[in-house]
Amino acid sequence: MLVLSRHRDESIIIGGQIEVTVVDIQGDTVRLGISAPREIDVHRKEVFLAIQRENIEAAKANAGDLKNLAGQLNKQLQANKGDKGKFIK
Amino acid sequence: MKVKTAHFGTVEVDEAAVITFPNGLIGLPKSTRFAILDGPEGTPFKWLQSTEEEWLALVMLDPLQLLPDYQVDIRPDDMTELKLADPAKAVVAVVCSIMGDARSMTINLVGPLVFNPEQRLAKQIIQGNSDYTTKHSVFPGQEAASSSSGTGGDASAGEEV
Repeated sequence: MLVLSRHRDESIIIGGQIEVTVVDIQGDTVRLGISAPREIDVHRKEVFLAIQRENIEAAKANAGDLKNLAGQLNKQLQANKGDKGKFIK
Repeated sequence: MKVKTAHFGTVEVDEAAVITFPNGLIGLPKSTRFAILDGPEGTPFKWLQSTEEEWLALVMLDPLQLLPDYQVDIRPDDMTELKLADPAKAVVAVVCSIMGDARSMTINLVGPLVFNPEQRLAKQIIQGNSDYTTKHSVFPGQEAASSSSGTGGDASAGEEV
């Protein structure tokens, strides 16, 4: 990993196209500004990893399990129809 | 075209129906081409099957059937990437995970799939709304069974991230 020191308002350029700027520093927290081409997605790492992990977990599903759950799901959908739009946490 | 799948053997897929995820799924950039296969008959499940990696097949559901208030924030850059002029034309699906005991199911509300059916384009986007979890229980009363919730930072002991 390349480690650089930057002061507030200083930047680094990655791949000639992505710019990361230190926008603000307050105690422990660094506010970073990122400019990247539209097609490059930028995410907080922990969220990215959570989604990645969930995708991999989801890929373990199999068709047999789905059939077993289908009955339960249909019941749930029927129940939801009566129960207008409650967001269950 | 013939697509090799881990669950269904070799299936015949209409090439024109194949959907492109330009950046692949989040954290799984290798596959960018997917086919949508029907789930078991009489169920609302669909499979998102990679045409490039046999093992990569995800179960999808329409979130609005379960959560009519679920709102997806599609950023302008995502709209452009999906060639979507009108957000109303976007079709949203959520990825389902089946819990180990096959008696419960969760859906990922943080990383929904957004489709532009006309252009056969799609993208998995990340929702910043902290009310949403990657493991939303589909069947109420099973919340207790699932030990993790919330976005990020929820690795449990022994889990490698």
